Amino acid sequence: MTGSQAGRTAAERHDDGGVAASRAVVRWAWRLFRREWRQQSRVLALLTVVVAVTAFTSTAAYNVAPDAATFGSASHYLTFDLAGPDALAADTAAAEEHFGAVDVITRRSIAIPGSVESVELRGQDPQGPYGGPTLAVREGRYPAGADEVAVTDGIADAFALEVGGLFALGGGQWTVVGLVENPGDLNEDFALVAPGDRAAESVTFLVRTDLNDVNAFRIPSQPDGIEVGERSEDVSILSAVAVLVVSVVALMLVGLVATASFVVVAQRRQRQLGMLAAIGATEQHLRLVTVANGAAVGLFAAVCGAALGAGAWIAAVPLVEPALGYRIDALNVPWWLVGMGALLAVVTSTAAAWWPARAVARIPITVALSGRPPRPTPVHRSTGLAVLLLAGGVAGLIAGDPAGLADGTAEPFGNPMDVLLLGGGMLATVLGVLLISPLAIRALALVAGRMPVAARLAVRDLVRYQSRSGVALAAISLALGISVAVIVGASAAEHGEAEGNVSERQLLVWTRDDSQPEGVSPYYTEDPNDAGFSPFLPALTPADLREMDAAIQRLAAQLDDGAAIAELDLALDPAHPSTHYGSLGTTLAKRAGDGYNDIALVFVATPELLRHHGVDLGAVRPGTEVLTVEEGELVFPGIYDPSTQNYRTERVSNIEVIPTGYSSLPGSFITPEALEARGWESRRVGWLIETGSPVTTEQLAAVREAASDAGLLVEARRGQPSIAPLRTGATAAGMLVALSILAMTVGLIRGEGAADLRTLTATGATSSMRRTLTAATAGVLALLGATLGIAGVYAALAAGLSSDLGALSPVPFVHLAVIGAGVPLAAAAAGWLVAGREPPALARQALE
Amino acid sequence: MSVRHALLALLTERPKFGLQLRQEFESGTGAVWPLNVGQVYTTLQRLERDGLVESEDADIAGPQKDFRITSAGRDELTEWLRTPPESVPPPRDELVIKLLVALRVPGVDVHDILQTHRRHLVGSMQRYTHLKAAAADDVALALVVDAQVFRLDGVIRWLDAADSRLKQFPLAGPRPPGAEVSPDGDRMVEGRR
Amino acid sequence: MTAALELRRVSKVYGSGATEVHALRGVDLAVYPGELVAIMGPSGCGKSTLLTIAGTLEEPTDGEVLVDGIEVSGMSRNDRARMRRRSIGYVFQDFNLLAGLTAVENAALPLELDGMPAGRAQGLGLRALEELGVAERAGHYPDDLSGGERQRVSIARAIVGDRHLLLADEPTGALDSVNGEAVMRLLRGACQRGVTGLVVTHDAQLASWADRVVFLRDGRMVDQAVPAGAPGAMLAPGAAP
Repeated sequence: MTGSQAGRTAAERHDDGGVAASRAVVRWAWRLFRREWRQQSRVLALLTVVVAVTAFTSTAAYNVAPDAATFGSASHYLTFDLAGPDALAADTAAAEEHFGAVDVITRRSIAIPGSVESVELRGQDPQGPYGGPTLAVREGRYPAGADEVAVTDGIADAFALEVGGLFALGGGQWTVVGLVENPGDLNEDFALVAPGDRAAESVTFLVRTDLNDVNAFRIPSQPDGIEVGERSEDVSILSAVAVLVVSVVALMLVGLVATASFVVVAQRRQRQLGMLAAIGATEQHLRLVTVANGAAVGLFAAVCGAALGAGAWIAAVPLVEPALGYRIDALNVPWWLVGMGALLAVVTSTAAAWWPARAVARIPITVALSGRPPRPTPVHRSTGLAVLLLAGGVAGLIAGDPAGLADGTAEPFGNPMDVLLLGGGMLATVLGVLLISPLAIRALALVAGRMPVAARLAVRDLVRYQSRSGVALAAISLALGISVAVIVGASAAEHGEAEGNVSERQLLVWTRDDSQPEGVSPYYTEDPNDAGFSPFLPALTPADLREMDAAIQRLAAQLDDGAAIAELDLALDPAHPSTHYGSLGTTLAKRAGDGYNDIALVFVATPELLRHHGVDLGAVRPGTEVLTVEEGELVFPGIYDPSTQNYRTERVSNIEVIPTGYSSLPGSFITPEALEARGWESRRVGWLIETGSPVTTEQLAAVREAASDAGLLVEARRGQPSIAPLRTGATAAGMLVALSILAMTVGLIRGEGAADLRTLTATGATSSMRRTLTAATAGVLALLGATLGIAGVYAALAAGLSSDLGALSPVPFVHLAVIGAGVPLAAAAAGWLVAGREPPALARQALE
Repeated sequence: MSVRHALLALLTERPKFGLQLRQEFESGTGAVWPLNVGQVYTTLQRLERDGLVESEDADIAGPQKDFRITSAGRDELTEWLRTPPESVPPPRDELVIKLLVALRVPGVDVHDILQTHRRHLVGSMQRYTHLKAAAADDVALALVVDAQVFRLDGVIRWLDAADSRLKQFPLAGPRPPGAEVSPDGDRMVEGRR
Repeated sequence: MTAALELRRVSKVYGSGATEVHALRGVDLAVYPGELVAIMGPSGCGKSTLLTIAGTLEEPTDGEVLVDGIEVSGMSRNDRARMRRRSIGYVFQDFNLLAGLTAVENAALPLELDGMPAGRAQGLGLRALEELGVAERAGHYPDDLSGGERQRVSIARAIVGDRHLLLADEPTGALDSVNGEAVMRLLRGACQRGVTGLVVTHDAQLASWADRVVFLRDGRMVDQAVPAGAPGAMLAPGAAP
């Protein structure tokens, strides 16, 4: 008998049967997966969604705004003002001698009459050595002669140009031969002329070298200011990797859910595994079955998800291009990153299957064969560790500056350290929530005694199987927490919804005097972060102003019957002596270094102007002196004291901070009472015209013409990319993940309760009893999850935004109510509905 | 049908008179087998003749005469209890009697008796089954064997049922107070738990 | 002659203290190659425990288990698994086959688990199916097989290759009498070809197929039966070991 084993020496070397055995086990696992994948469809769908979202977002991050918009393929640029028509040739020759290949881009700006804007006339060779990526022709061709021009869509719109038409501006005249764009910055508007514009005001040299070499170059014409730009490191990889890091955390969350789901799978297969063990499979073989199932789920999700994500990206490119503002090569997908995300999904899924695999492989064979569920294992988890992890996680989240990421003040994923902190924080929070969930469930047991029997039974089961229900609860809390965070974040951003200079139904008309050029924004709307803010008022007589007032009335009537006009009056201290350049308006300033920087002009508050910030002037706290969108400690700089003939700085004390509005609208106001109390005067500097419908380009052209005649400057909405669709997409994705986790968990609970339901039915429980049981289970879990999620998010946000709790003030009650009450109710209702059916196969033992 | 052995069994408890034996026989068999007094005395006389019982007082003839079992009587009884019934399958009645009788006999392990019969029955069944196994194509044989096997199976099931019933109610049989526990009684004690 | 399976003073106790249950109490049993032995007893007598201990699925509390003369009670889990792959085949009342594997794959599974290449293992599996008359169902999944066919496949799996110790727990319990008889006939046939069989049952008809019937009661072996009696003139004595 024993002699027949002599030929097995090869196999003897492997106690576990070696590769052939593993292959047989994996084959079986794969067949099981093929037969039963529908039962795992929820976890499959969830993983697929995560992989798809990862593939999509990491591809999007990889295609971040390219530096190519400015640099083309060069490494540095030098920009300086030209000394004259001949300087260009000399400077270019010197640069070519120094650098070798140089791409020369000339610029000339031509004011649009009656507007704060001007047109940039760009002279550039489309075949230049480096600048190629900054130019693309969309229609027609590039200009070849001095009298030819190609314009961008924006210019073509504004001047109603088409190919073959004539473009006349600032005394020049060109034939339009094509429509062009900067693929790296679709919002850039310019008119392209052939290289060598002799009237060019400034020039940019694109070169490829190092910074020392650039600094070593001496420009023959010796211009005053030379702006040197160095291409930054390619951040596309970095930001894509950052997305991947965040995805890892998301995958961990999904891994939790997957674990819970694999526990059910493993238990369903318990008898089959017992059978396999009876045949002689080792513990490793048994583990392999469940782990291979996990890997199969991961593989399936990875392939589908990666294909779905990349496909969605390619389909979405035409839609996101306008929003992002640059052309995207749809096929520029970082395949290795997508592959990495897919691989991570396989790893996560496999790892998620590991624990259930181990647990089920360790069940004694006789118990496994009996098909009885093993005794629930008691949970011993440290409360201290949970609190520690939560605290650490929240600290990491705070340090990672999520507020900066959310409001856009921080470069998205620009700082790898922040990303690491955020990732680590999220990781620790996930673990902390996971550890604290069983505690929350145990707390339930305290109230269980007073519930009706079905609910009591549901709660008892949750408490009994707290290792599993804890995982489910953690997943629900996190999923709901994510959507709460998205909602809170979105609502915090919502009151700052006004993006851009003015809305498309608004026109700002500014006064100017003859000394001020057309084509540039008047000083008082310049970005104060730029140097050169100074509050000089145009030298206009009251008669001039009256005339302008009348012109405005005509303009408004021409636009729209119901156009509303709001006057923009600046506060002015009459005691302030007039300077050489004219009188000065009142400003607010902020401390900067040793002195103060002016940051805003102070307008006289009117109900109409404040309405644009959502503030009712009548309801403003009495005694308030200044209302402003600016934050921090503010002063009135340079208040003239006639008695000492000195200027002094006065701290503004009675300030009310108001929500921000469009950037060019007045943002700082003094109340009429304060104006009077201080003995200051008001001076008209402009008007805000608000029309019933968006201003068309034709209307705008007409208004500009009229304004130019009246010596006024018109400011209309500048083309501005809107991130609104992106934000909506992000919210939808967050909700999608949250909802799928919830649906999946309720499904799991249903599966969990199936055996109990059978017993209950057999003992004569009515369908309403079954319904109550399932509904109570789902509802209780969802309620606990929502409570933990909302509380957690608010705690984290409050800690993170401790400097600015006001940002949380518009509490999105409706959304929170939907999550806090609606989700549990919906879960309970869904549980109630699905549990009504008689449990199938009361007596039948499924053949497995 | 063995009234002889039944009476012997009743006498193992203590000496009894004829009338008493009749009453106890009838109550012990659930009045399934009525017995007239003449039958009792005829049987007792034969037993006395064979030396299996003895009477204390040979002079008294009548209902007051006390009978006692001899050691030869005990041997005969034990032997009979363990002897499989003559015919196969055994008439159930005979097994039933044997069981009921065994319950009255101190020192007899009822379960052991049941097992003895079970062994015999299973052994017979094996013989039949093996016949069937050896002749797979013989339908007629299979039918005959099946009939026997099912009959045997019925008896074995009755034995099993009796076994568990006696386990559940170990004191079902009438047993006078003070009866001795058999030296092999630990199993019985266990069985009664 | 070495016993294919030997139990020496095997005891098994579940639980401890007040909940202590003695499933087996000092059981001695030797089953010799080619023998078909039935363990018979009422439910709760410990017969299933005896089978799981004999098949190395459980370890005895006390005593020794020898398979082919090799002591298995002290072996590691992996060694015992290997012993099951190479020597011990199980047949259960129901739930015998792995869904997801075809009949021939099920039959060949122990060999594959032991490292035999799939092709060779399935060749041997097919041969085992042929022996049991279900070779034409080789490519079917368990769902498509009748109860009798499933049980035949599981017997094929139990004896595939060199496996020669077949342990069966109520193997005909889920079958009707015709199929049950067929299965027992096959089991008996396998034993006549050298396989050692141990069947536990509460059913006398099933047990009567065995060469020897061992009676188990309260964890003790109390008796055993061999073919006996006088079945009648027309019946010749069977072959007893």
